[in-house]
Amino acid sequence: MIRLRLFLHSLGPIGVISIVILIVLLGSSLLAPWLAPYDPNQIRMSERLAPISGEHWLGTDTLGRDVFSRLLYGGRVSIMLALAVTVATMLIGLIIGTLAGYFGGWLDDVTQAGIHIFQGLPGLSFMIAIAGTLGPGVESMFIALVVTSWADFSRVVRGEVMKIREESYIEGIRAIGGNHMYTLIRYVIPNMIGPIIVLFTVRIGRVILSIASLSFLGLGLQPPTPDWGVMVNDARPFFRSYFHLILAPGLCIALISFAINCIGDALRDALDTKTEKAGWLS
Amino acid sequence: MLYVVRRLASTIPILIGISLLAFLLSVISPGDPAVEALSMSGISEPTEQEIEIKREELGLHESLPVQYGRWLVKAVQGDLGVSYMTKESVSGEIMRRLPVTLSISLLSVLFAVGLGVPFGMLMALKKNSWLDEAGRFLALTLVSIPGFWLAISLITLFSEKLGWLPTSGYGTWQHLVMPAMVLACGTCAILMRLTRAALMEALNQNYILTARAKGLREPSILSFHALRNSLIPLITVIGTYFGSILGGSVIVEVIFALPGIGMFAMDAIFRRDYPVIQGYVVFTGVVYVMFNLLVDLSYAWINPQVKLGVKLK
Repeated sequence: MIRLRLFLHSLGPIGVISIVILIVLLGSSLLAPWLAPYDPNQIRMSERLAPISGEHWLGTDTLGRDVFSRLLYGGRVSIMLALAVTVATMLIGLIIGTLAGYFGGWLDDVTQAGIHIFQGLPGLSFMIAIAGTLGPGVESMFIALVVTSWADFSRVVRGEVMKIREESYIEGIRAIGGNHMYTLIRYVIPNMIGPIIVLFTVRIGRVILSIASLSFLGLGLQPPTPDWGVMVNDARPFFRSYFHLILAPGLCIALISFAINCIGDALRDALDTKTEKAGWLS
Repeated sequence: MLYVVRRLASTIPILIGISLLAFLLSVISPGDPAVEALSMSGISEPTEQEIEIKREELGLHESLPVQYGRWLVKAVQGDLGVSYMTKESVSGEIMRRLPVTLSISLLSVLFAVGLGVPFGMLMALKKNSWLDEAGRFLALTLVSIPGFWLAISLITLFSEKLGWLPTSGYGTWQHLVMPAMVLACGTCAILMRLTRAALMEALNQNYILTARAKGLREPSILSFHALRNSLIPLITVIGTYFGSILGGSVIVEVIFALPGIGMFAMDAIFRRDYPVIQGYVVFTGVVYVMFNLLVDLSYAWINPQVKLGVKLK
């Protein structure tokens, strides 16, 4: 309860707005099939690049598709993919980080070497190279994103586990005969839930941005998928006269990642005051 | 000296690992490199025989470890192979395009430091004021805005509406301003936060209390005591981010049509020019690792505790 109050306190007015934004964006993505006034992929060449009107709230794009409907659908694939990537990253990070941090020794040495190698590659360039080499698509994006983010997650988990391992209660549990498996699952992992929740939240925000960037570059989701990143790219040739076609999807990406980052910050203040580097700073 | 040697030695396995990952990129690629190379030479439907000859030429008959060994030996000597597309050496092409990427990276670090550090200092000094709150909001916004979208918005504002800056291309300093602004965003936000945290920590130290007790005035406490001690770690952070900016310039180079290494890599990706993709990954990786090395060494030079292996918090 104290933590909940601390969380609400550190949210502040911007944070409360963030939660509202997040609920609206997630809700409208989820309910898109019922909310959208038009089929997001229905092409009407006679109505191409129609202005904003009562009929088309945000006008139509270069193929006459209703922009508002596409916007409602535009977060679905990215958000689901971001969730899948972050869950996969977290599982890998948890397993590798926990084992390395808890047992130490050669296992830790090998893990550390791997982490150093993957962190030695600037994230974006390696991600683009993997996604580009595998060819555009959801699967390649998934692989590219997991490969470039597991090391960060593992490093933070490893650090947390190493701290917890030194605590005297762990020694106590070992002394009264708790085996490694029991100690890990019952005591070590529950004690780092805070930092993991924080890391998970901030990661999702970053992955959404990465997916949008890849899709924008043509290496991610492909047209005609209604997706915010794809929509910005589609509208690029017309940005002079039809800036709202770029403004709307871009704003959606910015708002969702802002909301997630802001909530992540508040969670960090409430759950985990020690690891300041766990967030988007790292 | 021992520290320098040890730190130098520790980069070798990392560099080998990076080279292995870059090499593996061509292994995971769905196409046949020989076919790709031939099609770029203008042979769109190569015969079996032509493919065989090309495979032989590229050494694709060998086992993977042998291929990797050969590639690595050449890479260490600075030979990253030949581009399928331009038929020129990859390292030469990268070096030719490097000044473009380097100039926007340098300018963006300048922007990030020039805005991030003073703003972070203000936030620390006016802790919990509206200014601090506004800074927090600004930092969050800067990390949340998609770079490609910001870039197009800036073009619309500064080039189309106001006509102050050129839309795209390379040549004058005006061409560099908007790309550097976009690239600076993330680093600027991080610097704001780190400066704020570092300065606040420094202001809580006992020697600041002593300085105040001695009756020194606030400006001199700030500049002579607090700043000097809190900014040293920041300098090292800036070094680390410079390395990653250099590797992360792809989007900006594509939107602003800058002929740098990021644009080169993007072209290569769409043409399946594997030697170039590999070369790009190796190059950005090596630069990044080297920057981290320099940062660590300079940090050890500033703070001798590091050399003795004293754990810093």
